Amino acid sequence: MPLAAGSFPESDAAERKLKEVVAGIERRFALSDVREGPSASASPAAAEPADDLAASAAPGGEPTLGALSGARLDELKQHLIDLEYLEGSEAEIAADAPTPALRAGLDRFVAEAQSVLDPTLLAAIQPDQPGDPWVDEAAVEAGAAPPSAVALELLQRATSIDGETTLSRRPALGESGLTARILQFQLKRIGLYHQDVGAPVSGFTLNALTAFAAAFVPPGSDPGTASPIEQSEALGLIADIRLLIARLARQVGLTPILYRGPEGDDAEDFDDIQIRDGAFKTRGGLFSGLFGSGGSFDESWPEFSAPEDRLQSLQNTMALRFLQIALWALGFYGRRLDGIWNADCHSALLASLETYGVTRAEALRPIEGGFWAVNLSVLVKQVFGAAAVGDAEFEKQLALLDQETDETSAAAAGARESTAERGFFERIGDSIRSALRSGARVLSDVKSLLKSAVDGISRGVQWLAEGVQRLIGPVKNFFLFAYRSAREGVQMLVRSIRPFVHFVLRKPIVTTDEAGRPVVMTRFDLDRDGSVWIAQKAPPELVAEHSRLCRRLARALSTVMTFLGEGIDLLISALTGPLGWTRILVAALRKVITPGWLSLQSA
Amino acid sequence: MAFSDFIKRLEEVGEDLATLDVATLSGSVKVTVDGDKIDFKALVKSIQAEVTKAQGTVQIVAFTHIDIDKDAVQFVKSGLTAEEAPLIDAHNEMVKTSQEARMSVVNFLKGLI
Repeated sequence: MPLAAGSFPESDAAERKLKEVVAGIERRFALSDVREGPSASASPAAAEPADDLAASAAPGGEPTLGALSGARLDELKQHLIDLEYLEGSEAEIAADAPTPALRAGLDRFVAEAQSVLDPTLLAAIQPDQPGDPWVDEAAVEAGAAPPSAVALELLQRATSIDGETTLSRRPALGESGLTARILQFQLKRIGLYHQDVGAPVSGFTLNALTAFAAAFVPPGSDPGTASPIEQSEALGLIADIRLLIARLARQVGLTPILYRGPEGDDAEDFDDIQIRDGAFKTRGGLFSGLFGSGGSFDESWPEFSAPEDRLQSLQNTMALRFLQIALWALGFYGRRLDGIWNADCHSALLASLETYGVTRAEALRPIEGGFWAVNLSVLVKQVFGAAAVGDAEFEKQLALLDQETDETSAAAAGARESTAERGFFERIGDSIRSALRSGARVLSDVKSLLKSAVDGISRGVQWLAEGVQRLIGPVKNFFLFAYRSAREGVQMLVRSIRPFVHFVLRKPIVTTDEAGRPVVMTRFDLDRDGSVWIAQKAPPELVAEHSRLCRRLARALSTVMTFLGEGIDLLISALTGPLGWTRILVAALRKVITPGWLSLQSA
Repeated sequence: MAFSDFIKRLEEVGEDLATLDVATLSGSVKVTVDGDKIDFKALVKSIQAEVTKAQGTVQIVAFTHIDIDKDAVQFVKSGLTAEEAPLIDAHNEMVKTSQEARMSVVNFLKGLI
């Protein structure tokens, strides 16, 4: 199936772009040299590349990448579209016919393109005509619906190996359109995406894209310190195998990539170049670099401390996959493009070095543990670059690719700026909303804090109120009790003073009858000796009443004497200075605290 | 008053403070009324006079003597009639009253010391 060179009458830009794509492919891969149909290139095994390439060698006799036949390029497309292609069935490989999977894929591309392309562009596309060069005449004759020009262009964009593949934007989460499918396909092809192609974009897809971008740094940057390239640039790189290899080679510099190859291979041809600090160096260069003009060479110097870890690194994995694809494109390798290095890949690499006249020691070196180190930069420059267009032209093409990459980045940046301009007020709105959300969160936190504080204070006040309520009763009772006691004491003292005076003055205590005649009379002398006279026939009740009267008087005397004693004691204490005052304080506390404590306990 | 008399008087006061004596008398005496007031001094003198007479109208019904070491002597008239029985109760009450009054004085003096 030839590549399409269609026209879009009412879409000059699309047509121009398509023509540029086709022209680029024709220029770089000499599609004009197509000499065989698909079935003729059915066996791209490593055993046949010499004939294939020899037949399509450049005028100088040197085989080039451009010697790829159109059939091989189509086959590569099929490889890239269908991951199940060349799964191991020799019959399928030999058939090399458009597979039902390819046909179904084209149909899906058409349907999806119509769902994602601008309606005006779709309206401008004229239906395919039998005479159009991109129409598969055989398919038309067989009654099958030919793929549309749009589908072919999209297919071209999605599968090109000449740097024309672009993804203008990153698909959004949940998106399952054409852009998402292309992105997933390419990520899966380089081993970063392991889910189904066509599934809605999820974290798997975006994480794979991030991992891809993280493997690269902007041109001219220090890989150790530079930030990864923008994802928009990664989108431009992702399907560009040749550019990827070149960029990766530049990035890794002299750092070899590793693969695990067959052990026991003859290593005698690999003595000239040694690996020092992970880089390929000639014996002389290494010798002079280490010892100046003299010294000895120790081949046991360490090469890679952890080759297994290095083998598993993303950079190494991707480089091996690209190398595998390149070897396949050059015709030295004919098995699955799965990125898993195998003995055929090793043989293909050796064959390519021999074919292109590259010294093995410059590009390969066996190291311990069955690992092989590959000088990728030499391969890119001396094999792939020279095979393509020659050294000078390759540098030119690299510059062009970098320029294209820069343009892509610039376009992406412009798009971002444009988006930024359009989204200026939206960003302001977002900022305001973000600030409001932050403010609301702060306000909520403050409210929560204040509420907690108010609750705490409220609980404290409530606790205090309850405590005061519990305390105020006993305290009130205590002071009431003290007041009443003091009042009663004073009243008792007042009441007792008269009987006291009566006693002191030794007045007789007389009880009279109703007629006023004395019936009972008692007299106490100074030391309280008593004399009682009771009249004859004195009423017993009057006698008993007289006895009670005398008892009350005696108690009154005791009360006053107690008051007097306490008063005199207090006076003496007050006059004796601090010691006496202390006695007063202790006595007062004892009289207050003890009853108060008992009162509280009873409460 | 000679010093020896003062010393004798102090001894008597001390002895008196060391003992408690309560006497209950019963009998008829003349009461002198000055207007509507009873002359108690005259009453007391009359009682004392009648008690000291051999055939006086006032007789001792009961007498109690208590030493400081709580030794006590109580005298009760013999041949008490039923009418005179309550007089003994009154006497005993008066002994208690005298003890309380004496104790209050003692406590007062103790506090001062």
